[in-house]
Amino acid sequence: MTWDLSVRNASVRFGTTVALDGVDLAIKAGESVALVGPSGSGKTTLLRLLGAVLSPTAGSVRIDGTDVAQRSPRDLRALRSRIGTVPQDLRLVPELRVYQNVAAGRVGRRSFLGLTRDLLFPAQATLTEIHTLLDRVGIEEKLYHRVDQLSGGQRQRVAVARALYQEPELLLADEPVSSVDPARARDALELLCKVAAEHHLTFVTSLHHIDLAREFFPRLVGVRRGRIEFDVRSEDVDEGAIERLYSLEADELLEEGATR
Amino acid sequence: MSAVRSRGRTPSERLRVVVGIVLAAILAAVYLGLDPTEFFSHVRSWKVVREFFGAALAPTLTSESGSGYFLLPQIWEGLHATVVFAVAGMGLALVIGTVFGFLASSAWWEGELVDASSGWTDRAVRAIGPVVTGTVRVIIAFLRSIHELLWAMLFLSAFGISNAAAVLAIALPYGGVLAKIFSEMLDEAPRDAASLLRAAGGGSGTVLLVGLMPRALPDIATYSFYRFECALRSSAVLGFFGFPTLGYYISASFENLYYREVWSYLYALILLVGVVELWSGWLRRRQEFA
Repeated sequence: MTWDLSVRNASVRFGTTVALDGVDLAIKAGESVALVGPSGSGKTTLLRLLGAVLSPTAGSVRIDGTDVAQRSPRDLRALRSRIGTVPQDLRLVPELRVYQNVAAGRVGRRSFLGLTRDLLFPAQATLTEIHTLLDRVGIEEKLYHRVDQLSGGQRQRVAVARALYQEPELLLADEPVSSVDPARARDALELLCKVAAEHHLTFVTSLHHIDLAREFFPRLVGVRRGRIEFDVRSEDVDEGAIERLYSLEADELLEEGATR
Repeated sequence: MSAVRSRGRTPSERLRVVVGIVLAAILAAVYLGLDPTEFFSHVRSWKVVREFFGAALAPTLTSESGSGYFLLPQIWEGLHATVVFAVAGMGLALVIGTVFGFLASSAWWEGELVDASSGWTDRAVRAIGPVVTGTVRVIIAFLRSIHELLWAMLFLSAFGISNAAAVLAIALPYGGVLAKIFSEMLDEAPRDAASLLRAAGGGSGTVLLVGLMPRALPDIATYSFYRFECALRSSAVLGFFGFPTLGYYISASFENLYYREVWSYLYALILLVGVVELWSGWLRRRQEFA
């Protein structure tokens, strides 16, 4: 039972900066979507709305049919505990070991004492479960390694395993190829798409690399200057739309210069 | 441009700071009438100086009193008491430092880790946090601004020579210093992992435990080892007040002008500090490369 998402006329302002401006977006349960567009276009803000960590200044965000703003604090925490996130900077605890970082994923559903136990004296069942996840992301031999001794690609796999350990209904990834070297970009996306498909997750990622987005995702949503520019199946995306999505950066710069 | 300037100092400002520090030191020296050329003319007896430092080359393991008894049992007892008082004092200081250090940090109530919109507990924490932190900071400033020797004098007049007096004399000022440093380390630890765990539905307490504490822990451990070394020295010096640590034996030998004995005790103390240094270094390496 994965979740459907719907954003209605949502705007986000940070002070005088408009990050999102009247965005409408509907994503079906189990769908995989890539948000594409230049950096600073609002992709990350849109992801944070979908992750229920940011509330829109205006408009609404519904996750699994219920408006996020209508949920009680307890309900909101329960919701967040089922949203797995792989952020651009990964946000692991480098001083802790791999199994501890993965175990931390269940922070929303474990008691203080339960989680302390998972970190210090993990039960065999917990370790087995984490080992299975690590096997799925291809680093099962790193169970007891400290995260600060892993390569960038391995760290990203830890972050993916941590998100999966949440038993998520929704998987969000922010620029997943930027934290690995270019040669590994394809591996990173393959892994995310594979686990999303295996777990039938609703999967949304931001990605400024348009060719990779077209290759890996059936649906592309173009975001530019806080608005949705296009929302198409990836075989239907035309070169003109992509050019407009990125080329307009030039006149944005001109405009910025003019307002100074 | 102005944003860049306000963050750092210009070279001329930096120069002014350095000149200021040097000037302050010179002024203080002039005020105290320090004159390097006259320093040695104030030495009352070169014979005593020669004897004392000469004894450094000839420490002894048999008493200089002529009775011929063996010093090792006394050295051992002095070392033993020094370590025991330091361990007990440091143990209590760690408890004080951990509890007060956590409360004196703003990490547990400030910033995005505690979300004021998410439930009454978080709202309560946000409301009382600044009050608790402010109060605890005053307490730890009080604890650490009184030196351990002054605390010892205070407790001696209150309890007389008791083990508790020595332990508290170490534990209170050390607890205050540890609390201050721990709270700064917690506040400076990166919060990225903690904020992600918050977004994964974690409560503020659990998120602090998993996302923030481990980031500060290696620094906290390193600093605690350094303070343990200081505690050993403080514990030894407390012997001058009559506690059975190395200082007790050192002062007794000093009064009898048995300088070779004094050096035996000093070497024992140096050896002890060296062993602790090796031990903490070994632990740090193990932690890094495990």
